Amino acid sequence: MKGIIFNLLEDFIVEGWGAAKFERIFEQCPVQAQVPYVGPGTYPDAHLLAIVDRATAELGIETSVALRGFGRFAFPRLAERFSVFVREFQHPKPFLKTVHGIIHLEVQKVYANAEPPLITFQDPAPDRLVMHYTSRRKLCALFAGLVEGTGDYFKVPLTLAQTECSLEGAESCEFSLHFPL
Amino acid sequence: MIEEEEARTVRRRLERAEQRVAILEAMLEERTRESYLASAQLRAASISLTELFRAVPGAIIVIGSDGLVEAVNDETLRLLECSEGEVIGSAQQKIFGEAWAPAQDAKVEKVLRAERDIHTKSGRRVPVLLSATVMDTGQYHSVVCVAVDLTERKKLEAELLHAHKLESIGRLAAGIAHEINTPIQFISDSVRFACDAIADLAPVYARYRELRNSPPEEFAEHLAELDVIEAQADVAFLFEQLPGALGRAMDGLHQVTNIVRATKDFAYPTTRERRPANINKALQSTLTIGKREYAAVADVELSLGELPLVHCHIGELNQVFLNLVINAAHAIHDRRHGGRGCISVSTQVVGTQVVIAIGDDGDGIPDSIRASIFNPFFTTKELGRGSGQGLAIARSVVVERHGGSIDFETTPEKGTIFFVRIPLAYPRPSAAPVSLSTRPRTVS
Repeated sequence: MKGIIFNLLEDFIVEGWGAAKFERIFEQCPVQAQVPYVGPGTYPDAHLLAIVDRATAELGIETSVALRGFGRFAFPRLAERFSVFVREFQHPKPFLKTVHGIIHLEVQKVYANAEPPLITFQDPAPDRLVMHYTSRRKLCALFAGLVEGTGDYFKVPLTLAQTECSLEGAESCEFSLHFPL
Repeated sequence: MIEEEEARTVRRRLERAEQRVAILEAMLEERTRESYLASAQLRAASISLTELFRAVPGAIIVIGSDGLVEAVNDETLRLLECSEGEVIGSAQQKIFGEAWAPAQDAKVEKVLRAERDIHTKSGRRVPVLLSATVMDTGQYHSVVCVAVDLTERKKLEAELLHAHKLESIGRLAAGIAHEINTPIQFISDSVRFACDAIADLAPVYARYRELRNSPPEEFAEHLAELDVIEAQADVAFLFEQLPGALGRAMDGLHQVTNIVRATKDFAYPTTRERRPANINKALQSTLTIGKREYAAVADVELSLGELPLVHCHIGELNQVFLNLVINAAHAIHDRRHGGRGCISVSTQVVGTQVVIAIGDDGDGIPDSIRASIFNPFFTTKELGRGSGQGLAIARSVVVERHGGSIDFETTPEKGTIFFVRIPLAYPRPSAAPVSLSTRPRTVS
């Protein structure tokens, strides 16, 4: 996992619960996870999960809720940092359709060892989009939060329902999006 | 207590921030170094590719999707006979003509291989073997054409065809000569018999004339009838002219026999191995075969030294000698001072070589073309009189097939002598059959 995600997670906790709370969570993590994360660095996924685990325990919320909330928090910030990928869009739907073909491709150019998930989609109707998330990390809650974040960023209301989940044995996680016209 | 807790949090965050800065600096240094090395490698690769692009012997032409020429290499400029500035940015039609537009040809999507013509600045059309394909990097779409000049190959193909025709004609000539030989033999025998018969009849007729001039009385009544028959047959005239006529017929038959023998010798089949051959006899056969070419303009001075048998491809050497004799005849025909000339043919052994000298007393070879006369297809003769292959083939036969040499001495308005030197020793197995594979300047 890239360091930028760790930094955003820290920001998410600090902004929501304060710096002292984050420090308390951080110092309770395994020693190997207590490193200074930098954006371009690559770190084990286990570090992220360890921090999330400690945070959910400390904050008393479920992991999936925490990840979803973090995704929603992270997207607008990622969009600001990498505005080149979003500036030409006015709506989440056309943007989401470019995620795998363009954004992940560009991510791999900048971070040679990045392992972005596989995102595919079907476009059954103008107000709908069906997305499939496949990743060995199985962070579908984070993905759902990121998708919801696109609605916040573009200021377009969207509803998202997860119809299949790899954590429950499906090959991939399926999300059905609806954009009220 | 709270302040102490806040201070501790700030201190920890500050420490981590400082560590992050240090890590980022180290990463930046590493990335900078990697970037420097990568750009150095890229620069080196770019230089190599540019040099390769420039030096590759095929013409490389890059056409943009707009149909304009984007890049060409040195070989392209050589083929087109123009400078880079004249071709870059120009329309593809300038190179390929109106009949084919690579940037618009769907077949180019897969690699297209075809023969096409390239249009030079001077208006010539150069045949090329062309390979065209699309270069698509996602951001950059163009058609790359690689063209190999087929001019030389086309010439070689024509030459090979010509050589095959010559070989066929040679075989045909040898076959005809063989077939003519038998009837010539019995015609010669019959004419010789007639000559002998006339000679045998001559004393009979002489005695008859004696008796006719003083006939016995009992024959007197038949004399008038005999005189009429004799006058009608013009027997006296026949006995006077027949020996000469039959003699001329015999001479003619001797000539035909010689020509047939020379044709058979000249059209000696091409063999892979050299065989011992009589060079003097070969030259005499050649002069017989080529007589029609020189008899009207030149006499021949023969000075044939004593030669051992030489291991050679005599059929191919015959072709060399004939070419040199015909060239000599043409030189005499073309000379400015007119009149009959002389073709000198001599042979001798010099050291380890047989030297065959074939000269003329024409105008000599101008200095300006001396370096080119052995080049394939070089000729100063008018259309239809010379293919420009004679001396090139001669060079190939003598140098490549026999390990010998061919050169010449020429003096303005006095003439030229070609010297063919064939080693007496048998230096190496024969090479491949004759071909015009090179353009030599030095011919030994």
